[in-house]
Amino acid sequence: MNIPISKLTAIGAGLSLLLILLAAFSPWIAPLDPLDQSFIAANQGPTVEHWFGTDSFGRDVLSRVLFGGRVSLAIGILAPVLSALAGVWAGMLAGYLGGWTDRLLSRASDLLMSFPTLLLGVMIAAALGPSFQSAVIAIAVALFPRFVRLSRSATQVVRREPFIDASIAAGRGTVSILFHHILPNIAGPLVVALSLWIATAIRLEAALSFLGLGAQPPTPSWGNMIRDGMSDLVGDPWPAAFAGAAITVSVLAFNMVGDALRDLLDPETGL
Amino acid sequence: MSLLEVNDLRVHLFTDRGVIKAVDGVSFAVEAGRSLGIVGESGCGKTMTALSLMRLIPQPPARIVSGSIRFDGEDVATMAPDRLRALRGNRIAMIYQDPMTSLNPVFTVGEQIAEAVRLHRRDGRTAAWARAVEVLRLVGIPDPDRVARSYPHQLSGGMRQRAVIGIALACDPKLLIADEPTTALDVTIQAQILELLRRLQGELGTGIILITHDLGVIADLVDDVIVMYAGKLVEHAPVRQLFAAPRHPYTNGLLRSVPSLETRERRLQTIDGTVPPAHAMPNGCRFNPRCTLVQDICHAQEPPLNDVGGGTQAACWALV
Amino acid sequence: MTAPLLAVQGLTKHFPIAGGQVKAVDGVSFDVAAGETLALVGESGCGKSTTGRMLLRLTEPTAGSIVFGGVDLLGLGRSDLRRRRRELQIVFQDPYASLSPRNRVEDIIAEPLDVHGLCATREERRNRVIELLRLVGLDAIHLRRHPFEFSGGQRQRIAIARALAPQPRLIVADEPVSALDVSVQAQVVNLMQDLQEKFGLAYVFISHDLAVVRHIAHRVAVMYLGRLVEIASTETLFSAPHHPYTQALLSAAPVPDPERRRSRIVLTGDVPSPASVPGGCHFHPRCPLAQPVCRDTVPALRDVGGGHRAACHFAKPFPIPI
Repeated sequence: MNIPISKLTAIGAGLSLLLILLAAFSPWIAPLDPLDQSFIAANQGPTVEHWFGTDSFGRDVLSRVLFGGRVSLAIGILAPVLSALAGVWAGMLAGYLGGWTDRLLSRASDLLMSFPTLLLGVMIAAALGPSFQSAVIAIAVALFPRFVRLSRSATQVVRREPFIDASIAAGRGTVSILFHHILPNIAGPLVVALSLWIATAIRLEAALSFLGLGAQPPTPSWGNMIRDGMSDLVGDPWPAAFAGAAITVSVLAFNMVGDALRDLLDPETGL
Repeated sequence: MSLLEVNDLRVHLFTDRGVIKAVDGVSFAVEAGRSLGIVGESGCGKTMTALSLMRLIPQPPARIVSGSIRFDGEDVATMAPDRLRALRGNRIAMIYQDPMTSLNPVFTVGEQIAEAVRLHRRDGRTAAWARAVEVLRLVGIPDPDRVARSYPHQLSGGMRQRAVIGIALACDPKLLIADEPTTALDVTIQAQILELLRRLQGELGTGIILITHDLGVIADLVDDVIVMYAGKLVEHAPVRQLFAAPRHPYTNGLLRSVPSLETRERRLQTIDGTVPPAHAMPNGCRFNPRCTLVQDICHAQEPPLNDVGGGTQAACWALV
Repeated sequence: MTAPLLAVQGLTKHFPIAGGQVKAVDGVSFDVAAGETLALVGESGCGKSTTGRMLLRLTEPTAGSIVFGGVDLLGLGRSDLRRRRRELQIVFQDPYASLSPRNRVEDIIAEPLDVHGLCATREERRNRVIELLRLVGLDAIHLRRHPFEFSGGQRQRIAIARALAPQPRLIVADEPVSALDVSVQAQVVNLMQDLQEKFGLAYVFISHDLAVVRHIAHRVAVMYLGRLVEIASTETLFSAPHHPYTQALLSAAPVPDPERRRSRIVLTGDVPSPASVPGGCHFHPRCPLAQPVCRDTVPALRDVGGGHRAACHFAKPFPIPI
């Protein structure tokens, strides 16, 4: 079968999958307990025992990166997915029905979008009290208007096509048309956008936990590892460096997944 | 010497699925002041042929693989780029189907005509503008001063197409290539544009190549006709001859499938089947799967273009 | 006299725009009998497509009535309208955009069957779709394919098969062959006529191509800027049109016969925009017969003999100049 994606994007897709698996199976893969402190082992560089070195509390950085990945990727994937579920539906309604529905939903999402993303996330996380859940909600709310916009304009384009009129003439009802015809035809760009925004969400989560608003210590997340590592960057750069690298690699990988999906989903050249 | 002499032109398209012989051995000539119609259905290669005349084909994926296109003695196919630039819009001009996309929406019509003038003649701004207004008057636009200062979206479809013709004629080309110039227009506007083209041809002596699928437009405007099918030239005749006595079975079928405005027939005659896909053409004569006169040799060898009497040339084994 | 299958009265559609409104369709009335083809002809902006869409309530009329099979379609609630949709179907101009690109042919054609629950089992559904494919000259092997694998003419056949699926009594055909090659047009026109004979279908055939209309229509209605200017049997309209616009239209159509490069009535000026229609008779600014009364008074669509109606103060038979 002729799979129309380049090697690079295939690598990215594979990498993302690997990361997710590593994060998911971290309790079984991680060599040591991420919370295990040791005064003697503190601030070490990479050694045979600690591949990624240790932090200022003597905790194994590799294990912390793996466990942190669990948190960061969970939030990074969950938040956009929730956001998409709500946003795509709202956007489809706005784009298909037009009129007051459109005006209401568009104004609301414009309002949300006018806040700088990070600021919005910070405000919500601060208001709800810092935690895993509040990070998810904060990021989901910040991304919501973007999904609304995208699915609204994609819906409007599909709505104008004669095959939608043909479906109405055949007697199909509005909700049925939205699920049966509109959704499959806007799915392509939406799935691509979803993977790109997962990349964004990972960065946002890192920023939020860097500011202390995400998962709380001692639970590791990539963002708070950087935060902790900031104070001793010269002496012990390893926690911040490896956590930062993990963020970078994940973001890159999900971006590549987005590209791969776009090629795959083209009905004429793809699957 | 003819104004334009095309000899065995072959244009191939190189795609992932193989080579498509979009124009496969087409030859014809256009004399100064005469008009030639190229007629055929989608995929026949008529637009590719027209674009090749000024080497406007997208290269890649297309390429002129062989043949010559002699305009005023020089071969366009092998011309140097700067000679080609001096040719385009100046000695040969082209007009396309959709006037809305042929005009730049952010410039006034006058500016677009003046640009063409300044590009090829050493005229200053004032002289170029004056020429633009003069050209608009020439193409029958009322109040040309005002229209020259208008933007394309402010004009109707018919006016826009006149403006497009104006841009083409601004530098007094010897040859005008019109690719489906009236297809996007309403019937009553189409009549106006065809009358304009006829008048301009008489007044300016410009050679015209008209590409269309509309047999009515061909009958109305041109002196000679070539019929194309699947990249091949299948019939070449003076216009009256073509309609009075079509020789090639495809031409015949085409003429008979057009419903008449005058009488109502019981049932329209059709040509069986459809045009084969570009990358899967049959061997021998490309029309053989659909032809009523098909013989054994038609599957084996491509028929050459032969004189079949009455001034007509046709490529068909059944006529030899 | 039997009641007509479709009776349209004063159908109107106004679109509000900044600074006024666009009268896309302005009080159009006509009838269509069962098994007959009525053609709606006119140039861009005349409102023929909008009229066609209103018949199916794809666009909601601003005013007027549409009585189909004795039922007022505009008074129907949502579920009643859905039921009625079985009997009125539509075929669109663009064969590339009128079929959902992501579905297979089988599902596209079966859509009306699914929506109205007309087939009890998957097998029954499949058989019905195969039957429809054969009716339009295609085959069972096409079932699992996607639209992009077909040519324009074949896609139009698929669209026709879909329209036939719920066994309608009337099909609105909106420029169904305009986007097709000439030889393919002939095939599809023949197909539509065969289907009409076989199933007693009525067509509202919207087109700008007068030659095709001459061939397929029983009666023709000419529209200009939202109004009906002439309506007559095909034979009468083409041989003795009474309205000056109809005559100009007929004379402007190029005929594939070089011996007939006849002098035409070439109308001056452009087709005005429906956003700014002239007062009185819409056609008066371009009309060779215009008089002051044409600017002041809207001519009514009046009978000029034998069911032939024309909206002109000076309607009289115009033979087409040879």
